[in-house]
Amino acid sequence: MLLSVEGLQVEIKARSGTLQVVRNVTLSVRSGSWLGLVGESGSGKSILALAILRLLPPAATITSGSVVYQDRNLLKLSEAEMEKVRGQDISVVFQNALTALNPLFTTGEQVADIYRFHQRASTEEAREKAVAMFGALGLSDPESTARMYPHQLSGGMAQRVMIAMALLGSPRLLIADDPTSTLDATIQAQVLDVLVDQVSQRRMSMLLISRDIRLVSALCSEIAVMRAGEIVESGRVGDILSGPTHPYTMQLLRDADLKMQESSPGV
Amino acid sequence: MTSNTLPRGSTPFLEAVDVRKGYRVHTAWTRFASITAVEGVSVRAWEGKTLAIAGESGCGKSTLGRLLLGLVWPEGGEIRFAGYPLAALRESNWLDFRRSVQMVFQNPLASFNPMLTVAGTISDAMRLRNDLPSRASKKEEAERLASQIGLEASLLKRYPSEMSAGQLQKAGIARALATKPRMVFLDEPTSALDASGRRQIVDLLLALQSDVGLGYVLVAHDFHLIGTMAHHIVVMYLGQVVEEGPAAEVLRRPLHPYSRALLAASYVPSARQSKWRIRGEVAQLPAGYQGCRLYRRCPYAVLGCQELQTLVAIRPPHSVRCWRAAEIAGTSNNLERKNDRG
Amino acid sequence: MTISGNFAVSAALGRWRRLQALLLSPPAIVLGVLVMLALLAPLLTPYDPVTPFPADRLQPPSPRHWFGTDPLGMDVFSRVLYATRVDLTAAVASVLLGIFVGAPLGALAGYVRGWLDEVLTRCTEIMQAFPQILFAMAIFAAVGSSLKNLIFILAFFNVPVYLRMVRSSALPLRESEFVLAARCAGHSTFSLVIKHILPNTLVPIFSQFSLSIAYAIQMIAGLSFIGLGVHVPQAEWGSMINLGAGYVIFGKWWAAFFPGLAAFVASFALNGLGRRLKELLVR
Repeated sequence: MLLSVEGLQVEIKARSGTLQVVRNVTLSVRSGSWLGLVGESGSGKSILALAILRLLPPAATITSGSVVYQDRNLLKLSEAEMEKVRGQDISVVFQNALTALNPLFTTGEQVADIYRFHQRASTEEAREKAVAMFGALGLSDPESTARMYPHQLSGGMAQRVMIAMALLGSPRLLIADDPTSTLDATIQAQVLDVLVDQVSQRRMSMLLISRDIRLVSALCSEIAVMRAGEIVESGRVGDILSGPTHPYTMQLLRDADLKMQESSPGV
Repeated sequence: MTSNTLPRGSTPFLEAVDVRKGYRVHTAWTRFASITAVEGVSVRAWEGKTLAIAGESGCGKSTLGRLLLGLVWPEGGEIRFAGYPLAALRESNWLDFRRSVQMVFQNPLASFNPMLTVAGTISDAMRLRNDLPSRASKKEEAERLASQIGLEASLLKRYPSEMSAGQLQKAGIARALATKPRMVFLDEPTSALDASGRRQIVDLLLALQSDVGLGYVLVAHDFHLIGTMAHHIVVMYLGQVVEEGPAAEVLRRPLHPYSRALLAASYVPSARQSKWRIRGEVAQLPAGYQGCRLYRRCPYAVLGCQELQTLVAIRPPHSVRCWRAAEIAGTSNNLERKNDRG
Repeated sequence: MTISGNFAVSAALGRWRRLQALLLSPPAIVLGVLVMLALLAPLLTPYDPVTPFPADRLQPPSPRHWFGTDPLGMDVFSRVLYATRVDLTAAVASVLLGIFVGAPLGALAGYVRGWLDEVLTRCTEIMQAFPQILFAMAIFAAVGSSLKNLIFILAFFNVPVYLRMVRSSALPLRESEFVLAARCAGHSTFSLVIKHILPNTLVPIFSQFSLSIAYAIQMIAGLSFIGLGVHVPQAEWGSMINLGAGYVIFGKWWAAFFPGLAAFVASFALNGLGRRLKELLVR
């Protein structure tokens, strides 16, 4: 078991009181396998991802539970030790790359920086690695992309840059939080292809978080369904699709089942 | 010239005829660049039917929407309402037009004035109605609309920021219905919603169409949505119509490489065309370029594609703007035979 | 219901409570007290604010003169109370007038753009280019020096500030979807600006409002120092401070301190009120 979350609870302090946003969540990701976490907005799935990486906003606190990565409880590590884990063991790709990238530096610089933080490498080497990674991710002119600033990138390009940043440290586990939903359909397809390609090539594990149960069932081997902070159902994708037990799962499957009709209305 | 499609009644309720609209963008202190958002586009929408416009950002669908709603004026071509050019409408007919065609927006939160309650916005939308003289009557009507679309009356008192996206989008539909329109322009009505919200909105829209006979112009990039609602599909890319035809046709056998890629991107595992991709990103082409706009991204591109492309009815009423479409799809013989069988 | 939905419900219930909290908040109470004192000044002051008692010049605070007396022998307490009337009225009136003229014009300019926007923007630039005291002097010389004219002049200085502020808030609203929706509903430009654009530009106005009033109080003081607007011996905080400032060094602090304190308290309370109003408005 690569990552094992047990009984995790996260609370947020708001003006009207405290809110339990993650309630007693238990899930696990095996080495080399992909777990899909499905839930609607507000279900707490993004908070869960941030909690695993200990990147929660100040108002949120982990009140109980454990996050065990390769026999180490991440919640017990110091911030310095945690910084080593992020990027090198576990990395993350967020939903909106343009807000995750620093507008003051070129993409090449930012990606190379991450590389140098985790490996001892010269500026030149790191830069070359960054450009090579851009090429591997399908960016059409990696050299000039590396020289661009984030605001000059299109959505698809920016997302690929973020994936490059996440993969460069050769992590074992990638947490992808809704990585393509802000993109146009054909670009989404391209970026997903590339992400899936790279992650499987490197034999990485992935925690794919999404609101789209179709996407998750198509890509992952295991699935967990989250609602209002709790995991209501989890298991192998095949089992869940053929025989969901929780009504919420059934509802999600029904809602997603907008079939493309063989004959459209009225013709 | 494009061919006509299944008319119910001979005049389309709302139509764009060869419209062109561009924008000037500031590129440097004294320089402007002209971007053509919509070029030579003709579409027809009928009462009681759904015309779907499929495309991604930059294809011109938002501009087309604004043109069809009379919010901006075309530089070339014209928009016709029940056969009459918009530009020629007199005052009272113009108001009639305004009442008859309304819009539902993509982002429900942005489409409501944050300073007004939902009830306030819906009542405001009734400005043009002659039959509701008092505030009280408008309020009653708003409540009636809310119940018609399945929105709790108590939610009307709230401000937009206090409602979920799904509830607010329902309110957006109630707002569009406030003028008793005959046609509603739906601009990506479900892309900001979750699966359950999406389902409710789609069910609601279909019910309204069958109960009230509303016509829709649906702009979307999700073919699941399009497949559920459309009678007729128009695919747009970079300001041009690249394919159009009856929904069943276009979904079953998309002819243009871009349509195929768009369809494939909706990853329905059973589609034969899954994993069919076009490369690269949408990019503005050099001014004066007349050829196929997908040229740089199309896997079938050859030198001849840089010539002017026109919409050709390969299997009327199904048309495509790609001279290689028949070739790509298989032999033209097969296509002709299928057409004979009807 | 989702988590955000839960928050929304509690926010809705809290709005009335927030309004109550606003009315009972310290700044509101302080302002309320100031206004009451100003209104009831004739009943509360034992002395006439403009009658000097030459024998009692510069007396320190005592049971007879709570705030002491100023260099001309007038009772500081009475003068501070009467001055509240002048200063608060003139400052608030001039700023409100500036807002009522500047804000709608700004909203119109920001929404409509084109030549109207150009003309209005050039006008604001011209108005703001003038050195204010000199301009006031020139206007007073032309039309005479009175409280009414003072208010108009100060309003004149406020118009460009609010015009520009509202204009820049209105600019991004042009493209927003709810404005499009309003156009679909048949709004004319004018009704759209008033009903939809203007209310959404209120937030920065509230922040600026308290600053404007504080600045107006300063301007009134400055102008009355040079004899314009409010004439000595009429009670006004600024002129009282100027009258008594020179004596502080001799240890006679009260003549300048108490009017200064009043001006400070008024500005501070207005500032706090403005901030709370903004919070109440933000949805």
